[in-house]
Amino acid sequence: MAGSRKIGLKEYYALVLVAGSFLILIAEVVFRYLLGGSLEWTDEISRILLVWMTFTGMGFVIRDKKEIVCEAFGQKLPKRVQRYWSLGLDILGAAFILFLFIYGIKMTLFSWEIKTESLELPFSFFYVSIPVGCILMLYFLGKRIKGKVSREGKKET
Amino acid sequence: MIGAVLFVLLILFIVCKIPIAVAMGLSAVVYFLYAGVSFGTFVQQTLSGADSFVLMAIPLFMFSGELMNDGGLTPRMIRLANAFVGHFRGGLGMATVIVCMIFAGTCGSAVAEAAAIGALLIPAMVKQGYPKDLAAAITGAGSELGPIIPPSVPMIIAASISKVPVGKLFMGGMIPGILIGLSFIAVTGVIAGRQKIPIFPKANLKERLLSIKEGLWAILAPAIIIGGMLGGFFTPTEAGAVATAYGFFVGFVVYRELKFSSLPGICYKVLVSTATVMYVVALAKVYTFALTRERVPELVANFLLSLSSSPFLIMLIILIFVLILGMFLSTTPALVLSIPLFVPFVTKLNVDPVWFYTFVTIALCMGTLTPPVALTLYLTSQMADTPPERTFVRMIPYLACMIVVLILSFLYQPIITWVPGLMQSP
Repeated sequence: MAGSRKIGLKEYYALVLVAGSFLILIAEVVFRYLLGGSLEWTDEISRILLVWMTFTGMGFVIRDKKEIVCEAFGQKLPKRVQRYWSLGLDILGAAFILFLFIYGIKMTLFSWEIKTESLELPFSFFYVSIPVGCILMLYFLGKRIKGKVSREGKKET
Repeated sequence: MIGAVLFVLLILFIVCKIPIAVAMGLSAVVYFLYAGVSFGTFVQQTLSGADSFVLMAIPLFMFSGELMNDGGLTPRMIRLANAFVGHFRGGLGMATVIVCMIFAGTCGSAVAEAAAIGALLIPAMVKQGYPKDLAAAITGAGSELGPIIPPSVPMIIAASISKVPVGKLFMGGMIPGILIGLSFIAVTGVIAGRQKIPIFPKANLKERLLSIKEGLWAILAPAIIIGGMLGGFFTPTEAGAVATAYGFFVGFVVYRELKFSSLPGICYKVLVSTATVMYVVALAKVYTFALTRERVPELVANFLLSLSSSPFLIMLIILIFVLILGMFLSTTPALVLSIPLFVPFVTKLNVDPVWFYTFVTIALCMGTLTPPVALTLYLTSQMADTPPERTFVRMIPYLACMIVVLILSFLYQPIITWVPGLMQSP
């Protein structure tokens, strides 16, 4: 991965989420010990950040091919069948993400009126991480599928 | 019946090499269609799987681990450990285990620990005449202390599912972790004696004092993190933030080896590792929602209890089941699939939940050392440039140590429950 050393948009995005959640929680500790009070909003904001890390971060997991797959069962199929197989799995994965995207949007719209306890934020702030994450996942999975298809195409000719 | 179908479906999907998170999601989709549950609930369950303050500790401890490694703590820990045990036969191997124990007090993941420590210590051991497979085995086994000695990513996941306080599970791993570490040191000494690994000169007092001065910050890290939780100064999630703050302080102020320009890259690494784990946790929530709705965990508990009335035998069955599960799945999926099954069992058998979940989690952590799916074993073998089969053979005495400690902590449960009992609540 030659390009990963350069700091790009994804690194800065990660910085906001990860360093942001650190700052919020350390603020909570500092406030409790120095000022004797507790910050009520830290719990909710850090949970929102975690949910965004999970679903949007999954896009980058797909980009870096880091998904947890069980490698225990050796493939005895011929190479060519294996390639088609893995292409099929990617398409199945994309279908699942599309499903999550559609119902994620529905839940985002549905939960707009429901407010969180302390900050009274719409619950959509949580839910919208799912469709946004799905777009990223579909983008990177699409790129992977496209790459595999064009490689197959080259081998045919 | 449908419960069995759910299991078979999941196994089928996993064998087909569908990523485990998606395999759980797809099985759940089939169930939702069959049972006529709305897909709104599907998304709601998925979200609630990730929406947890407790789980927030995962990225924070990953962040602190990365900062401390990049900030120059690891080489200083090595120097310190080596100054004190380096002159014994197998001294560097023993030092590796000691470094693993100290590092485990700041890091919660075996693979992260193996990557950090192996990069420096495997080449060093090979240079001193250790066989490559032995160097890989020592590092791999030692890294397993990462998730056993607090903090621990698997314990965070186990706690979030079982609803047992994370701090208690963390502390439950404390004594077993130390016992395992000490037994690893002893085994390394014995093996090194047989292998006739050369002895190196003893460090003089000046060298020792210097190594303490340099490495003090490294030892303070676990003391602050574990002590802070034990004394009730902060919650485990906050401990993650405190550990990160410490990592920043040491990396930027004390050793000055961290650069601001490397922060975004570190955060990206943390984001990807967090999402890898959390996505599995999130989709497992939907899958176990289906299982629970069909009362599968209760059926499993009843079945187990019908096998025998002896708690010893039942625990033995569970231990074997968990060890086998760990061979085929990596720690996170193995945890999210097995813990929900154990919940009704724990209430029925009236065992101490802190003891039980700590015990099961330690047993599952061994899975990253046992093939066919053995992430840590493969990683250290690859770093040592040796076939994993050979590393595994070298690993057997270390695995035996872990099993012995597990059995001891079953026969004498305070090994696990004593430290959690000392905890002050924040």
